[in-house]
Amino acid sequence: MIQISNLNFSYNSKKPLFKNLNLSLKAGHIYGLLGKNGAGKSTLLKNIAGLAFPQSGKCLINGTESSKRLVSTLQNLYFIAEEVYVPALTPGQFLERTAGFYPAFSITDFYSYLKILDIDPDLLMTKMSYGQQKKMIIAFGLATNTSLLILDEPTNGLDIPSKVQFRKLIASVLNDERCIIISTHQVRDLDSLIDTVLILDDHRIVVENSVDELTEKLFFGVFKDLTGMNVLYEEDTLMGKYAILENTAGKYGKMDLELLFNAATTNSSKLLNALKSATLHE
Amino acid sequence: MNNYFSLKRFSQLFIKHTVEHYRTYFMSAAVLAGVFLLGGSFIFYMIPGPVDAGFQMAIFGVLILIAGPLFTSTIFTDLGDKRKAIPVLTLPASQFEKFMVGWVYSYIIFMLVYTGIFYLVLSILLNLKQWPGHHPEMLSLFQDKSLLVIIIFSLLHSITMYGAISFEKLHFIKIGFSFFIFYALLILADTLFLRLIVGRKIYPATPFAFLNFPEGTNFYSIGLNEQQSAWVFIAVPVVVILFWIAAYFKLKEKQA
Repeated sequence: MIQISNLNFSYNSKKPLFKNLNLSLKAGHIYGLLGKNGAGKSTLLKNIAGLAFPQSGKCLINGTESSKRLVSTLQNLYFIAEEVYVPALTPGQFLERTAGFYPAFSITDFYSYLKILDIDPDLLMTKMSYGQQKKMIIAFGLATNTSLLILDEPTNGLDIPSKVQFRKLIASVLNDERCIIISTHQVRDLDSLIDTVLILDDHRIVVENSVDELTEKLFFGVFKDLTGMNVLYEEDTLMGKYAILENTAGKYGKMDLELLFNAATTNSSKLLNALKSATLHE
Repeated sequence: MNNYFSLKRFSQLFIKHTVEHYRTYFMSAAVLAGVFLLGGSFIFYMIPGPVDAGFQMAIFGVLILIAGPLFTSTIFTDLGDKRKAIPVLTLPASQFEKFMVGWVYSYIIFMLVYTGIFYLVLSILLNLKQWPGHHPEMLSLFQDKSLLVIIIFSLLHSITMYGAISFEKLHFIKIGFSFFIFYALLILADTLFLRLIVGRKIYPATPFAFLNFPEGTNFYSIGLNEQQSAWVFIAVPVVVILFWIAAYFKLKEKQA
């Protein structure tokens, strides 16, 4: 669905943000795009959506350059920005004026998502709290039923119950035709939601693996003693060493996204090499 | 599917834009009416005689050339605010349709509303202050001067529209600043070019205007003849169209 090839982008000619970045994203997946502040997550999403133009290289959505912003492309794309803007309308009025632009929009879904997210459809959106405004835009974005849904830091501004509802909703709207990309620096918010992890660091994607692949190749756990183990990354905790090991024994374990993120962004070469070789073998 | 223009989509977009911005537009129209009423009352009070159609035309022309660019500079302010720009740019309508909504509002609708309010206030003022034995005279727009006003308004509109899309904030100030800098450079370039052609010292010259120079104690002014002057009326609309096209491409290239 999305094909990024040799993407080069910079806001400042002396500091490139992406250098020959390549990425391929398919329908039927929820991608979690992780990266430190300033790593370029939002910029990458904007390049994908055609809101920022690459200096060189290409960003294609279903074979069409996203920077052309063709109506046929935009009809299948919904971008939820980190900071949302709502006009002085009620959700119902907004729906009336905007839903018509999206051919697959479902009014029933929209009202059902509003109910789940506890949003009053008759309240003026400008009178809502920031979190409510964001939930309203999320509900609208999900109801567009576009094949590509991009969410930039969607959980910012949401309270804990809303984050839970958000995770449930996202998981429920995924289907074989839909590709969902969620960026965040709050790694825990995406736990057990995403099926593919993308970690952006040092101008490139350093990790691009499915959760299954990661749990197959890596083992996450707390250990008293790591002697003799094939340790890829470790952190000291009060309970012992929190570590990522190479999963040579084929044990099943739960992935810790935060630990993986820390390992990848501190340039744990062992981990990155292990993942690279895993990808190459496949 | 037509990726460039669909009347149905354009209508939907026009209605959406109207619903989301009508409060601001109503307020702008009210401010305009207030300016006309206050300024007009002051003029009608100060002038010791009936305000003739020539004076009315001057007021009409001067104010449209100020209010027009001021309003046009605000028509694409959403694009300068990333929060608003993202939903605008990703809305499934073509960039041409988005451009046309801004154009229709700032050019056609503005001119209609401006003229309507002007005549409304003018008729109120003419009825309020009547001169005995004098039939109040009301401006008619069906005259040559109106065409001149429309041409200059169109030129300023096209330049302002380009600036409204290009700049992120303080649109009117930045457009005005750029315009005057550009105009000064144009005069400089024109003067140097004319000096090169005539091979003598001349006074600063603006494009299509007179070529002025002193010769001993005499002062000479060379202008275009009537037929050549007609070309100015063709050149300016061409520049207007080019600026509108440039503004459209600027919108296509707009990033958030």
